[in-house]
Amino acid sequence: MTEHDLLESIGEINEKYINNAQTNTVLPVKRYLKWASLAAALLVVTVSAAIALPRLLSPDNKSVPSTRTVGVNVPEISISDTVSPLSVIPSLVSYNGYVYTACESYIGQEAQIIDQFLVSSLEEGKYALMSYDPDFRIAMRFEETDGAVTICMYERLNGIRLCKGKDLFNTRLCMNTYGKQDIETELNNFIDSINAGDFIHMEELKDSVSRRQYCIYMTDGTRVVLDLIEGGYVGYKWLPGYYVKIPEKTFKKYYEASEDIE
Amino acid sequence: MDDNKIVELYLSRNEEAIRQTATKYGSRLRRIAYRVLNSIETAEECENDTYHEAWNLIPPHEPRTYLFAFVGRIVRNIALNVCKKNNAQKRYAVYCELTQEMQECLPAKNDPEGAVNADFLRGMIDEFLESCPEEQQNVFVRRYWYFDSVPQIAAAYGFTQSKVKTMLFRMRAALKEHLEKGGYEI
Repeated sequence: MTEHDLLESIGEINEKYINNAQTNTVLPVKRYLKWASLAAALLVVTVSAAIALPRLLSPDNKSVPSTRTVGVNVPEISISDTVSPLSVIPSLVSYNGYVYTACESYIGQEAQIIDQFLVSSLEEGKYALMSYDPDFRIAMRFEETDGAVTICMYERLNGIRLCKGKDLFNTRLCMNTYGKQDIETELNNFIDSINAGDFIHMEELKDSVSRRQYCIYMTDGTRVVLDLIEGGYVGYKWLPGYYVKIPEKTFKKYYEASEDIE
Repeated sequence: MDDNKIVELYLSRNEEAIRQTATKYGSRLRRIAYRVLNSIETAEECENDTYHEAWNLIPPHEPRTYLFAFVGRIVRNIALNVCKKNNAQKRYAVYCELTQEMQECLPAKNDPEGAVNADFLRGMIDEFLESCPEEQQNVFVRRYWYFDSVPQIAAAYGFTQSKVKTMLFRMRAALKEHLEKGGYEI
């Protein structure tokens, strides 16, 4: 018997295991909904404050922020007080007056790689990352008593203005610096299309709309998980509701290679 | 269209059966092949070969309640055979990874040249999976039947990647032990 024989024999297993493995992947939807709710709640707060703040502040006050900064000053949540103990990973943190939401987290070998890219300590447990603007992304490092390290990314995805895809995917997420991929190496065309696309807001997607996720691995060991919506729409996993439209032909190739999330 | 009706179409030699199978399961089949082949064109060829093979196998088979598993097995085998044929060139990284992992499961007293009692081996694997908790069954099947990568499995079940890796490592060791205890002999 060879390893190929064994792999082939696994193909003949009882169909109940095949069906179970296909249908029992309910968790990502729940996780997605959790973050979607969180992001939606933040956006509601942001929008409400964007409307309310100009009324509250004096019109001749020179410190009235621009549209861009109104949003980021909105959430009046003292999150840092709740970050204790450090081994519990918070879903929101504040830094420099902004609210950042937890996004991807990394452990084990992945964390070890990313650890090398934490360039400076901003506050206790919070780090700036090489190549990323700390106004957008910071990282937190959690060390367990057994030495295991978890690195969690926090991103400021609220109170921001997005026009073109590049505003998020290139300027902030630095997606152009992708590294070696698991299943695909030629991403330039796809990423160029995303960067050039116009951002649109889509309220709620119908249940019947097919959506998938596609993961792009970066040179620094981080990953960017894209939400692909049937029809050529590409979004960022951690910012649900906002998408760029890209040409169908380019979209299709990556959609086929991506993962169902429903 | 439900599986039973699609199978009826195959049985009545209606070519609509292939169109319906492609509509319902095409992308899933393509994806299984793509994961191990990493080429959209070759994956599409495997998918088309699968429909042809299904057309030849139904009848006598009547997979009314398990059509996806049935065609999935076919595409999986076709894709694996493509990899096996080209393995000398080491073109397929995922296949190399999978076979390396499978090496860990081979019984110590194994004769690589020996013929395989496929039915017996399948029974042993089923028995092994039955003895595992459902969570482990799913992870194992996602990795070695659907050819998902560790990050994909972790994302699908909400586990950390290290948990998935550990789970698979332990399951491979347990499968090896199971094959040895079950007296798998060539």
